[in-house]
Amino acid sequence: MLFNSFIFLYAFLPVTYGVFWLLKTKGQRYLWLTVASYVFYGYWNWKFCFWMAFSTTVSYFAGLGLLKWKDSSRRRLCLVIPIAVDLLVLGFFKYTNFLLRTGEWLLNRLGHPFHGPVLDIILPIGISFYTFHTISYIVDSYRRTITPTENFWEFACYVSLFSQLVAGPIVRFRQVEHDLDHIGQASRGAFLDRAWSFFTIGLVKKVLLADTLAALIDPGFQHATQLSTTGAWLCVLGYTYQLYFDFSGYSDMAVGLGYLFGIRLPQNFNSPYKADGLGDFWRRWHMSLSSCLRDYLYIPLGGNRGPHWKVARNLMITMLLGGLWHGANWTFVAWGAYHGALLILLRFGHTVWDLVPQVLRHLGTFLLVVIGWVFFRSPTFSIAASLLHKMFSLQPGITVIGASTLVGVVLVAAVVAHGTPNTFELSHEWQPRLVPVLALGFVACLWVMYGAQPSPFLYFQF
Amino acid sequence: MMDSEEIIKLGHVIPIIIALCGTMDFFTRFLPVNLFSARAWECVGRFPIAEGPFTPSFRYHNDRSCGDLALMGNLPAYRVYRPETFTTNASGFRKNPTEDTTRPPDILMTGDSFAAGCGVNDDETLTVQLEGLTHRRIYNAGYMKIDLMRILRRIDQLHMVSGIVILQYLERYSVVPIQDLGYTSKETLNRWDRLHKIVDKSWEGFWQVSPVQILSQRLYRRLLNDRILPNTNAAKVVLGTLKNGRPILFFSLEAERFKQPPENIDLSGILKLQWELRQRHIDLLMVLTPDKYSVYAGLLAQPPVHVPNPPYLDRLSKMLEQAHVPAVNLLSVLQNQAASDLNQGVYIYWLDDTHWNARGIRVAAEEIRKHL
Repeated sequence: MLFNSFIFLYAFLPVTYGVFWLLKTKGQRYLWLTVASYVFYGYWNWKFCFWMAFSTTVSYFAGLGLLKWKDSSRRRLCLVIPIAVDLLVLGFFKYTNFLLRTGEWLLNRLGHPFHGPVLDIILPIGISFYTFHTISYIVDSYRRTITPTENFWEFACYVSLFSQLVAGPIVRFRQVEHDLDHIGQASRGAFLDRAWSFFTIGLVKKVLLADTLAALIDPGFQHATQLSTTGAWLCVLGYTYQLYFDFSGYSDMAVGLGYLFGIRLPQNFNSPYKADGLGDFWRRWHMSLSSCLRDYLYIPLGGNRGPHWKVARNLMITMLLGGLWHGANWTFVAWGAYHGALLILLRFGHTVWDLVPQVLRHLGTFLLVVIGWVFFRSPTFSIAASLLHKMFSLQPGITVIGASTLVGVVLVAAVVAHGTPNTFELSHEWQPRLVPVLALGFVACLWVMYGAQPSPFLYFQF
Repeated sequence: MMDSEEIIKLGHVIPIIIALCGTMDFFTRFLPVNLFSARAWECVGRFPIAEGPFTPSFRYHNDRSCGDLALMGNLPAYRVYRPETFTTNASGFRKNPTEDTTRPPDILMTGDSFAAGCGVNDDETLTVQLEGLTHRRIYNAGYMKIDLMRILRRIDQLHMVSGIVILQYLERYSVVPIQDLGYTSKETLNRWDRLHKIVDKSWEGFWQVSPVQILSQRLYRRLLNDRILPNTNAAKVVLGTLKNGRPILFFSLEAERFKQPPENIDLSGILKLQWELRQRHIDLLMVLTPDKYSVYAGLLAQPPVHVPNPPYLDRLSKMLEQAHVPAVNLLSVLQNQAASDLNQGVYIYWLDDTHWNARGIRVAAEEIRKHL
């Protein structure tokens, strides 16, 4: 079920919301939100629910073990077993065919002809996200950063909460623990305006900006190797803003939906295209993932401690795995390697970088990010190479259909992304005269949703 | 009581908009869908709650109907407007104006939308034109799902004890679409099955067809004009120019299949149907209907370079002959007619539709008559 679908807006949300506020105790509300979230998730494919329930159950009992046992050997088992199970499930669904294809390619290169099977594996939507939820819960419990909950439904509600289930933000238990503990006393009106403000802004970003950009650039990317230099730049810039407004729009909607049920979800985007360095960019882009990678991968690897080569190694491993997390394709690994290499360069050359005027640092960072998105968007290296070649040399070719519209939408998107406050910087206390403007935006979204085919969110696939 | 400032808070306004739009969407679904349809085919299949594929006892009329390809490809400039009347009988099949329900028919016409008469008026369908030429009673069961069970059940329901079943078969289907679903002649839908079907199909028709969506799509598609937004729908059709300069639309799938016809042809389903019909003293006649692209490819200003030789329908026709299954291959007769009509600016298929028009049906009916 998509947030930008009518089954969600007209049926699922009103029923879930209405029943939730009719229930009084926190136990009832945990149970209801869990059931509703499984319905939301099962709407894609009910079989997916079993994997989520399995992952939830394993992690819940591991949490109980960590609560009960004090000796390090048992605690370590409670850490290792659920994480291994989670990673095995994730690895099987997401990376089996990738590994088979890579093995096949390697063996063929080494002169051992091999044709591996292509397994018919359907990747459960959002598995990368809820796996991170359960892993972060186990690790934080092991580190005693949080106290594991004894209430199964509270934990199940945390893992499956529909608003952030399939595309984040990756919420850590400690970030919502307080709100979950007090869900029985939550006030319906406390966040109502804020909730709908976040949801409306997110919907506008997704439906009016990201989907319009997608409609304009997708036909161009289908003929990526035939594009002119202008066409290539327009498509890549369009994708740069599409990805941001799609994903941050989803995150805003998720936050808004969380507010509707009295749960405050963390910020996931802090105007990333305003960054003045790659490190700054990663503190602003998909913040929940960046912080998870930092806390559960980069720091355990050694973080900033040790000699330069070790710090560089830690950065590169973190970014490579971050790239692989986004998708089972070597282009994602290359994207991670690209960012890893740039982060290492800027880390050890920051004295030079800091001398550059701030405007140029902003522009330079943006340009480097845009180049990175070429790998992210391209299904193969040859298409990525072709696009980069076209972008950085004058090439004739086809231009984008509706180019003037694309220029206009890219300009609007650029102004919003670079020049206006982000959703978390707004007060969300709208003057009565501005409410009709937002309402009009909402109606326009409904019209586009009716008129165009509903478009899935880009981050569902990761 | 809330004051006005309270009401215009976003937390109230957005839920009110959702409620209003949802209510409007819900209640407009009760309006006749004719009001919102551009052509008959879009709405006649909404509630197929009886035996047939269409809403039973339904009548659609539109003075400005147009072709499926112009709509599918979102190419309003290529629409050819014409009046269209489409009526169904109580069983949910295309109504034959001379239908006589008191006696079993001599011929049962089955097939796809070509047999049912998509795009033509009630008095122009293949059934009606063939009936006029042969003076035999023909029942139009076109567009019924083609499987053995349904054909035999229809024969039983019409009390046919002899006669002919005409199976109109369109070139674009890669496998002759007969499936054996384990028919037993005594099998009938019981009361609960019927009720279940009525509820299921009514819900499906209610759920899937939203007038608000139809109108919004119509408006939105105006933006998809290759100037404001790319018209991605255009890829579904192929735009060609005839030798006389007239533009003509084809279904892109037809053009692809013309260039790459299937190698293997499986006749087992047809042979099974023929055997079952023989047990009932009924003959089978296959009518091999060419795709529009096969008929007009040679008449294009820029005809395709690669033309399959022999054409797929000729291969199929030969195989049927070898298997002793009577068949009428309409390919060459329609190609010849299209070629001779071209200079007069007359066509046997609609220029903006995948289907044949009344003239094309007439040519087909005359050819079929020779085999009856």
